[in-house]
Amino acid sequence: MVRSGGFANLRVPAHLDTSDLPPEEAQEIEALVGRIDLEDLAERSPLRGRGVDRFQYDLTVVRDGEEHHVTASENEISPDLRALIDKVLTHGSPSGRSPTRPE
Amino acid sequence: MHRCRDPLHCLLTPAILENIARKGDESQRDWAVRALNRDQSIRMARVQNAKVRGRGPREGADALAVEPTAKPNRIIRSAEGSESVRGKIVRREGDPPSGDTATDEAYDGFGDTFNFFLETYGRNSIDDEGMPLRGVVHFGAQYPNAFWDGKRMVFGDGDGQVLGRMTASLDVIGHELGHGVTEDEAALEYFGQSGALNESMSDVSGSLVKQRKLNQTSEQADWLIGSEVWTPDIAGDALRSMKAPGEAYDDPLVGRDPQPGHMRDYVDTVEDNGGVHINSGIPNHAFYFVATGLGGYAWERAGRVWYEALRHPTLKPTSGFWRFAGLTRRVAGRLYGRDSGEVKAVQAGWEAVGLQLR
Ligand SMILES: [Zn+2]
Repeated sequence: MVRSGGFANLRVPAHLDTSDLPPEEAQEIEALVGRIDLEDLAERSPLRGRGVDRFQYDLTVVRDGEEHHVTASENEISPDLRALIDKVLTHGSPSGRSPTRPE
Repeated sequence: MHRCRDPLHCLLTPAILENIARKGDESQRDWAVRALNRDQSIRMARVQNAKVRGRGPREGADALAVEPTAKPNRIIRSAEGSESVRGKIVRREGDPPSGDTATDEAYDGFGDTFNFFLETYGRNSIDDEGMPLRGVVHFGAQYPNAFWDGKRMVFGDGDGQVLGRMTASLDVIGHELGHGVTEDEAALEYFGQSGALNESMSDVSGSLVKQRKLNQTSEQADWLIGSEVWTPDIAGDALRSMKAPGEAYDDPLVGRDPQPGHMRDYVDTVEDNGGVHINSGIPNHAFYFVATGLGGYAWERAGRVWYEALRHPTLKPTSGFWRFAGLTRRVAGRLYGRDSGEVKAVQAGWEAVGLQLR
């Protein structure tokens, strides 16, 4: 995931792999991802709302081996997607790659 | 600034002048038509009304001066760390300082920006109709951003690690209010080149508000945007530099300022709405060249040309750099003459960033 935009436009990459997480946390995030209609979001991307200087999130979500690309403006994000983004920002590695499983 | 030769002209609103032009006797009609046609008469009428009303009624004038008083109407709310824009009102127009730094910075910054637009360009608030200036402070949890949502200006307190309080820089406040003006006049689409132009208009607004507040000429100005927003831990002068795009900061934690200052370095990207905060460096740099090429106060000529180009009817929501550059030259020719130094400076400014006008 990459956060961009906002007034300062500081690029913030973040990567999260649930297999690196303790099982409980991994399950929580996988359940969250399961609830999100990724196909629909990907199809409707980019989701841009009214307003300027908002953050933009570019996500690549791999679920059951399938990749989904979602682009959404901060103000066009559902609560579940927002929760996922917050998880990636707080638990993910900032390098843009997983710390334990480099690609 | 243009001065009124006949003070009475300046007390009359365009609506009244139009009325006289339609219904007055012949000499009144001629006089009203001349007043209406005179460059700036409409805007000057508004400014003068505001000033006269501010001083109270004047002999024979109060009956004619029906325009609403052009004074800011500021309403500041606090989100108290939430993401609601409907938090409680913490300071209204005329209230004494609240004691809360962000609240009072927003209030004062709105006042400075309002006065900038009124006194330099005769514009009465965001919509030129006296729209209330709505602000929200303390938005979000450690929210490192500020934005215009179409109705109000919203400011976070920063994360404290990288970015601090967004209201700390007057040019950030002027930038956000500038977005409101741009939306009202041109509605430049917030993507790609039109979006970068939109961003640049806001940086120009922010910088000029600050320069005027500090009474700086274009040579004295620092041309920095957001110089008070970085925390002391970050190696950077500001978030952006109009004088030297790409050189505002270079820090191990946040990286390097990605802005180009020339068309050859235009960045194609899907991030940041197609690089709106990146490629804005190009028109920002052009404005800097025009302003310093002309010298003196940047808001007087360079700023005026930019503002009138923004208001030009042929500027479309999808317009890009080329269209805008051409309009600035056309407007400069109209305001100062086709062979004027202003036209030459405008042309040279765009040429310096790789936009050669034919
Ligand atoms: Zn902006």
